[in-house]
Amino acid sequence: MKQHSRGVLAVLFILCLLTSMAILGQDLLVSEMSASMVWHIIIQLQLPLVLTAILVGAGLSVSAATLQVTLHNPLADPGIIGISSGASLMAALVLLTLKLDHINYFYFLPLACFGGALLSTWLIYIVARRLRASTTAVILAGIAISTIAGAIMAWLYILADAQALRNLTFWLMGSLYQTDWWILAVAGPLIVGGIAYQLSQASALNWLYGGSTLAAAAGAEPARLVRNNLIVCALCVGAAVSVAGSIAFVGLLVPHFLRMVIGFDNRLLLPASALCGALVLLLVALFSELVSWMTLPVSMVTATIGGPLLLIALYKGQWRMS
Amino acid sequence: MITLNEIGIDKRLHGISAEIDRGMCCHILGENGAGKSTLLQVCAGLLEPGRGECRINEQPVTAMPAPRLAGFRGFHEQNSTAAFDIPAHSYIQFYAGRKPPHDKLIAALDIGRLLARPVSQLSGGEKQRVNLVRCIAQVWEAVEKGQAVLCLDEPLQGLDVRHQQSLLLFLRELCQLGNTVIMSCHDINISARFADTTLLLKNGRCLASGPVHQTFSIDLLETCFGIKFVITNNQNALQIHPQWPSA
Repeated sequence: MKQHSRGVLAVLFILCLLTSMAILGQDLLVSEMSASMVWHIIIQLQLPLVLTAILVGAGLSVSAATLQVTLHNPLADPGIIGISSGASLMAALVLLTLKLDHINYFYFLPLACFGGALLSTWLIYIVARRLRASTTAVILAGIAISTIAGAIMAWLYILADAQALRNLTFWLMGSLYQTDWWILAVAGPLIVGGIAYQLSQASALNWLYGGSTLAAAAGAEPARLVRNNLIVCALCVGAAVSVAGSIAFVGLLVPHFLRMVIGFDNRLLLPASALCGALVLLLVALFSELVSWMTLPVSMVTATIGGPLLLIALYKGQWRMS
Repeated sequence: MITLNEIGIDKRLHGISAEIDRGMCCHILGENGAGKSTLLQVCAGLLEPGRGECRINEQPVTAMPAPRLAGFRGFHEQNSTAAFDIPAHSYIQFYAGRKPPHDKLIAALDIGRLLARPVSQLSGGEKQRVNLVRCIAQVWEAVEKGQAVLCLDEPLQGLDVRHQQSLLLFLRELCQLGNTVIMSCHDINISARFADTTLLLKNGRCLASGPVHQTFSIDLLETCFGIKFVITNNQNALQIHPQWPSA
């Protein structure tokens, strides 16, 4: 069982490596450009693209896996507790009301989204704390916040002009091309730090499977664990969403898929989620690079491929009860 | 030894004092909502009492570092469920420090056939047995040395007669090794047979505590449960019959 899981981790890692190399290397094959030009493209465009895909995919998947266990709800994903809706609302406000041109909002948009994600998490947190931080309360508060954000966005939709709406629609469906080294320099450490913290909590997370009382009996401090996990996931997801827009389904699909393959041990599941999430977005990035005549929104690709995949996995039942 | 000293928690428990010696099996009895589960959580160090304190071997249980406590104190929660389809053996191992449960434990609770199945798909009694194994496996090293304290909230709930028997005999065996068991129980006759010491609770207060022959008097039981009892002594084994109101 252990070996089987290690094998899965190794395979995922190698696939990530190969996909990254394919994305980076594809320009080297086009020999018409000069070497310095190719290097410039790789360093300024392809490398940020690869890093964005890895960071966003890993951050979203690990956070979703953590949230599902923390909130005792297999359906939890960063969307359901309202983190991404705060970011989306801010994106809508910036894109629909400020009427900035592309150059001006290149840095402003991610900053505003990150602020929105933190704001919605903070709201959820105070509501949930008044309700004694029961996991259901967190989810309900998240849904309430999402609903409010959705309502405000609907009002903005009515008032907005067509071009701004198109920009927003594309942002909402996610893109891996909105970053550069400066944005990555801020978001990267946040996401990497968040993932590292979550990995360090993996065995305490295993104790949460039986509920918070049993976690306490096993030697954890569940109240602190749940609070810290919520905050870290919010930071991680907030950073990911600010960088790449809201990307659907990855958080929900990847951990569920992996639980069927390698089981429930978070010490393996979390690293595997990081690798698998990164791999999924790397594949999306590779796919969009190959289909270069049009921009493919990430959510569109992840949903198109991920939805049927999960359905097949569910239909076939538990692939391997580890 | 577990010492309860004037335990009080707002409106749930009031001034409960008792001593449970090492190697004893203590049964807590009382009506629904009398405070049995709350008292067990206090004994397990999971709930800090507003007044008084619980000591294990002279050390206040709330002052012990959680990981140390987790090494020798097992806690079985009523109706605990896992939200995911975790196979029973991984579920148990998460709490037992990566080690599979000892064969003796698997045999005592007869869960060999359940290990590969998801906990969420087991029947009530099967789930209960898996959870009991989870609880005891967590402190198995201490159990083998006879130093464990097991706080079990209604461990017999949902078990059929055969599994009730094997659990009770197994717990008695553990007590003979020096382990201490505190459990809540609704079956007075089982308590009469298996409890070394008892604690009768009524509305969060301790009605009586001590060995069965002191606490299981008609007066005390009738005050505790609010119905009539008949007690017979058959070859030195107490048999307690609740009386039904005549139709």
